[in-house]
Amino acid sequence: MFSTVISGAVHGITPYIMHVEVDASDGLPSFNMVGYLSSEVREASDRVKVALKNSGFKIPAMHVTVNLSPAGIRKEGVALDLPIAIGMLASLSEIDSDFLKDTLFLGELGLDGEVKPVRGVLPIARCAKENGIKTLIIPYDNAREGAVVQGIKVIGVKSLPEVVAYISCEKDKRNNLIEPTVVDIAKVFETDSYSNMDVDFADINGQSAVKRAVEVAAAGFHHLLMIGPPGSGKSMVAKRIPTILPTLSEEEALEVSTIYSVSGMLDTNAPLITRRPFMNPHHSITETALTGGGMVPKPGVISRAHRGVLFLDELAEFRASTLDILRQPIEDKKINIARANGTFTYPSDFQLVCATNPCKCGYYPDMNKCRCTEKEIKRYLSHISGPILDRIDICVEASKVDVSDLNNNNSLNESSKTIRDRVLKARKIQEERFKGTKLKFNSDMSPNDIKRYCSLGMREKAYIERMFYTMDLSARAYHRTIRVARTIADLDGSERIKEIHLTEAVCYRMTDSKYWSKSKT
Amino acid sequence: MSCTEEDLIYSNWLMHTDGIGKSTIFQLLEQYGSPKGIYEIPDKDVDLVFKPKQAEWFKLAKKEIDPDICYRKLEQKGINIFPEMHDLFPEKLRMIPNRPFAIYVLGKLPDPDIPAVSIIGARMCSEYGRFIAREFGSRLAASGIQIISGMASGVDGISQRGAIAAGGKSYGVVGCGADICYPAENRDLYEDLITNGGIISEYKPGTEPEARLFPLRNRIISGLSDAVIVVEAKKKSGTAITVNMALEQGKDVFAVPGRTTDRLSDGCNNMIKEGAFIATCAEDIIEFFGLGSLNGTSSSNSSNSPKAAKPSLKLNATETLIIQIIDMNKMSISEIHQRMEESGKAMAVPEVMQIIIDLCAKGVLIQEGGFFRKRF
Repeated sequence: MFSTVISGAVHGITPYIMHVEVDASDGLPSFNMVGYLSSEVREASDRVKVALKNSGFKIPAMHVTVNLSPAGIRKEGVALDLPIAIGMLASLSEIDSDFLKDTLFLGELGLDGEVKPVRGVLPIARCAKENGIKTLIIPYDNAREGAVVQGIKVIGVKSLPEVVAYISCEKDKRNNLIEPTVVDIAKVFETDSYSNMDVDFADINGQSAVKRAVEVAAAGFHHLLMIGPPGSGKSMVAKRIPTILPTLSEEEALEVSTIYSVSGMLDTNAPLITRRPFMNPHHSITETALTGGGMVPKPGVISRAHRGVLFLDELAEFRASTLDILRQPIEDKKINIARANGTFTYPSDFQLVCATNPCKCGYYPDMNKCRCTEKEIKRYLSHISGPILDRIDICVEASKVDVSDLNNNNSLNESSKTIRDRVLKARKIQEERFKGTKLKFNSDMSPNDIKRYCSLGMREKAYIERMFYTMDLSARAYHRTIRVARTIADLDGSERIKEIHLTEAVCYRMTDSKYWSKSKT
Repeated sequence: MSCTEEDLIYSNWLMHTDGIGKSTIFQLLEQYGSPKGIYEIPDKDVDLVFKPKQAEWFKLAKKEIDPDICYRKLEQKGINIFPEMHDLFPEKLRMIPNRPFAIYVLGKLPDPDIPAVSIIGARMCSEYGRFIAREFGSRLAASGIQIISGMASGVDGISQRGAIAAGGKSYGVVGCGADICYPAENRDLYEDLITNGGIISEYKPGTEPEARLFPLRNRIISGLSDAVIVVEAKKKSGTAITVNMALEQGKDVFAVPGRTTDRLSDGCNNMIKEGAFIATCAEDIIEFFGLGSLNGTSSSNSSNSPKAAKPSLKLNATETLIIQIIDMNKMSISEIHQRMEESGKAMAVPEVMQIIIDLCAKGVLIQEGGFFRKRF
């Protein structure tokens, strides 16, 4: 007899509905699986047969064919064990096929019939809902993840017999047998916000200019570079950036959680990621780990930093080729990876935060400590490629910190919340400004947009021109300076960009005139 | 001893024979009388006169390098060669241990009748070093003293720039061929030195700069000078090598003192401890040579103070505080802001930025990347 079970899978991060077709008929006893399978899917046949046997089902010697449709997409993963087993049972008339029409199954099987957690439940659940499926039967450990999608019944199961019992049960008693899992999203957002963050900007003494720069960067989603000696707190500052960013919106949270779901990195107990991700890869990271890799690529670090912060510590130590990979993702906010079986597109809309020492020993310009020659200093930062620097709007110097400052009472320091409130206000202004356009933040503005949204008065125009002349800044820096000045004005709640805003923006640009161009006496 | 063109041609050829150094040349000169004599050593004698390796080099050079063509090339580049038998070969260089056989000069040689001092110091110098180097360079040059140095980045180059800006003469002794500008960023200085002094080298034109060549040229820097002034140097440095050579050659060494907490002044302070003269202002040197200052400027210590050099601007209290806070080294905005807070004058970061940029525009501060320093 023939039966169809609905299941789902992800290709890259794109979910699709899959039909598991099973036919059991008389003939030479065999078990065939077709439909462009990878080896782990092929192995399902053994797991399913043994799991069925150990769960107390007798499998008669029959000619069994399993087809995974659509047959044109390569199937990966172990989530198809459960649907195949259910399909077998249905084709052997052990369970009611009617139930299968609007139910989606997912799960890996152990040899004892246990249902184990799988990857990609969240995107598949969303896809199921869009396709009008009413019930999800998924591993117990993934139940909360699936239940994040509202308006669909989610049944978390622990074993194969449990599934069969559930299906065989009378319709109105099913809920008593296994209670559907429900997740209240509003509550998740409430409890998961900033309250239990273990870091705060109040922890940082000194470094006022850096903190200010971080605030501006966060407000306008500008990429940021911090240059400073070892121990000046660059990493400390970077780790605290997520605490001043607004929470993810529901849509954003689903986007981010999808990426983590596909990577198998979602926490069972916290199925929805509500905080902005913070990724800090070590500088030895390979290009594939950064972008995502594999036959069907898994999302890389830059995609896992989507809607959050990608922190590159010791920027100058990264291989130049690795950094160059970032150029396209930064520009397009997504990364395209081409593989033999298709091109995959992963989102990568992150805020780039970099930190580096000013020189090899890290102490320049402290002549008492710096042991580098002038050449070494120049060489150290010239590792960083120009195209990356071109995309960084804000550069700031972190100063050395005296030990005595560390012992200061930090109750006077501003808390993350105070800073965050200002950031939120500035973001609100941007939201209103860019209503009805594709733009979201000041940092997205093209030179044309700048003309439209950042008109300068006569005085300010003359002022910025004079500044560029006296500070010897390149014309290329001009638009970036204006963008940053716009954000600073937003933070200030000012409609007009004033001189003081321009001055500050110029201060964030001066670093490159020193390090990345020739300097004489 | 007079020097004919023939001597020049064959001296140049000798300088171009690899593997045959000045000590060998000096020995052979005694035996064969002139550079041409060496060139014409009969083939059968070559193996007797030279060590085996050198003999090979010699034969090779004789086969491959034509003395006349080689000399024409030199003339085309405008470089002069002064072998030690030349009348114009600096008398001072004849006296030093391990004297060179010949020197190449692009431009002129220092005038032997006018005092010459070398100003040397760290390549990576502080703002203080920069200021002192420039001051000494320009003041000494203005009073007619010739400045000799290594054309390196840092103190060397700055003092020479100062000398030329003051309309004086300066000579750069380089550790590569005289036709090569090293370091490349000192191109402007290199050009200026050719017209307002000279580039001097004991290496044949085309010699690439190599680390091992630089300590050797230091003996020529001190050798050409009557006194050596050390501006800023760490305890162990190339400057220390020059000073040792200067002492060996019997030259007077002056050191400009610095704060005891500055590692960059350790070398100078140590030299003073060991008996070097103290130079606190350019006038100390000018008086040492009995020149008296030009323009009637008084020879007081205060002449090095920044205020004397610049007419004072009207600054308000906050601006003055910032100027006070910025020390000898460069400072970032973070640091300045923090120091202001410590001295009880807390301000918002953007306001501090505003003032600092304003001070830059007024020319009181100089911006270098994210750092700011005082203009001395």
